[in-house]
Amino acid sequence: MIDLQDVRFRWRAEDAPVLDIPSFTVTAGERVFLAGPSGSGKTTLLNLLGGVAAAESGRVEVDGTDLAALSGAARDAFRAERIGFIFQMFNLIPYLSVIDNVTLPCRFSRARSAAAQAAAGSVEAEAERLLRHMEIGAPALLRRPAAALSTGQQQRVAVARSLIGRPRLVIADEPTSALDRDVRRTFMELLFREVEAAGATLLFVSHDEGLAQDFGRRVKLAEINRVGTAEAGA
Amino acid sequence: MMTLGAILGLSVKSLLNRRLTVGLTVLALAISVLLMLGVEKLRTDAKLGFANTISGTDLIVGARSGSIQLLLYSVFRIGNATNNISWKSYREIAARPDVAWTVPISLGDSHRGFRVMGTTKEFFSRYRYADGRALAFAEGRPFDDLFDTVLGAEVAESLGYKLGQQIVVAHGIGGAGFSRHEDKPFTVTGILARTGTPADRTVHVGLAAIEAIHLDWKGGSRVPGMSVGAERARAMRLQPKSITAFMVGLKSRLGAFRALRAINEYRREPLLAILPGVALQELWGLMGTAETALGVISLFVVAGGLAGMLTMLLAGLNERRREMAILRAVGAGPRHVFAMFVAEALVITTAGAVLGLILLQLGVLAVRPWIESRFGLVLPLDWPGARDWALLGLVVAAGTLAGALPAALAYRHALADGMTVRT
Repeated sequence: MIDLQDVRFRWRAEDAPVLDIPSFTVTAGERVFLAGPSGSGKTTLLNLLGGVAAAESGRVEVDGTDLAALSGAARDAFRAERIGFIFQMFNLIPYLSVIDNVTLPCRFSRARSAAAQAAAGSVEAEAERLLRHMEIGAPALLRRPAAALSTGQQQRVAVARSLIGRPRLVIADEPTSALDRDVRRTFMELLFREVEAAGATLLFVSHDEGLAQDFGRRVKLAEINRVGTAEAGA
Repeated sequence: MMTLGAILGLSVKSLLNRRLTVGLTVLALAISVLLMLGVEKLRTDAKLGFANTISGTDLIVGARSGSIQLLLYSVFRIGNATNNISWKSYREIAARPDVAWTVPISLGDSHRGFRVMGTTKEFFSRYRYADGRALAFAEGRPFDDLFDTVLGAEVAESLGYKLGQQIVVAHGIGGAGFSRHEDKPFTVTGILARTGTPADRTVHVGLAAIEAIHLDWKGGSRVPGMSVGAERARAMRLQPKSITAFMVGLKSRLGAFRALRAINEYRREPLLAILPGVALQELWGLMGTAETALGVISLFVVAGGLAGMLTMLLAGLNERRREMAILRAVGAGPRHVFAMFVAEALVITTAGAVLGLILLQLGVLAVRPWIESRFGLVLPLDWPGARDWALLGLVVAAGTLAGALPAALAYRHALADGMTVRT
């Protein structure tokens, strides 16, 4: 699902490289926990995987496609179609309703829109189904602006959005760090259940090692990124 | 394209979310559009109304001076004639075979700020304005007796005069009658309906009456010891020796230039004949600068409105970086972000243009009875003309183009921030 080979990245030519990853692979259907403190090049890695940034050299392959071979616009379209993102916070557009937030990726990807329609008859119905599964099913909530929701609710809406139209890969970046302990537990359970139901691969990035035990595979970013070790050694 | 529709939908929702600031921006734009279209409308309608001041008259003849000066004093009652023309010359020209009718006018006196014009009864049937509309009497009838007078609508209204009332004419146009013809008062026998022409502001009397009130005057002052009473004046032969100007109707308009030349080359007296339409054009041309100035001002007001919109869009740019990052995460490219901002500018300017148009129509609807009765300007409530649509299109195009600036900045943010905003 993910295949990185000799990937180097630096923000500007005169800067030191942020990433230097000889090899990192995730196979389809895997649930991978990637541990990395902030500042370890984590955000950069996610931008590379999403095709928002392009590697200076090396190969970034996602779902069988070499992103380096695509134009910027094609990478945007690729991200829209294949990847669902969940961030730490500010996942939702505050003025859009809960439903509109969930269906957002379908505005940018015909394939995900079609998949959502195939699953539930309409994009909205699929969004409602996913929200019900994420235990945000109260009809009164669906039409309210996203800003009216609690943080925990917003994070669950973000999961529903990342899954709508069945993208092949879900990337979660510290999705629980803004949540309370109890809420965190439920959130993780719901996330696992729905990612599995959708048949997606999950790359979960966090510095909270306490969550790592539930994952089939744990990787430390410092282990795959040579820049991190070099800096630590210096 | 699917995504473009999605972008427009998002733009509209985003704008609705900021409805107060957006609403005010739209209102500001609408007001500037209203002003622009209003100025444009008044300009074309005023020009038309102006050209409508006199019609049906083929020539105006007066003493030799400038054509605009002759037009101003004979039609608009502005300024003074430098010279009169002799009755004899008038009769001679009136007798030309190509002349169908003539109406002499004699100016020089006033009544409480309004010009007094001596003329014949024919004036009321011959004077035409707009597309050949004739004067109509709101009340009463044309003057009949020597000391009868017919008032313009404005005169009657502003001075509160009624039929049968007696008024006194002042000598000269100096205003508050220092020397008044109080020995020969006039009786109001008619009040004209409003026309929007200078006739509204004129006190009409018979040509003979002008003679009568000046029987005991010479060279602008009363002849000492001489007094001709009103009753004695009636008995006298009141043939004027001179008049100020006269209107001419020709049997055939085709002969206008020949008649014009003949009168201008008249040997016994230096005369000037003008074609009213041509002189009106010349006069309007003089006002071209004011016209241009109005147009330029309204363009600046529109530019101000657009600058206001730009300020709003630029001010919101930073707060919206997070929104852009979310959109990028779900698959929007920087070009979508660009399109979203341009779409917002497009929606705002279009809303402003449409609202401005609606305000204009409502405004016209509200003020047109007043403008029509007050200035005789008929404001037609019609669809905007090609020129108005072009101006509106220009505003929307300029606004959308202006939107490219915040859009370009948002594009740069979207490119640099990616899916996460470092704050």
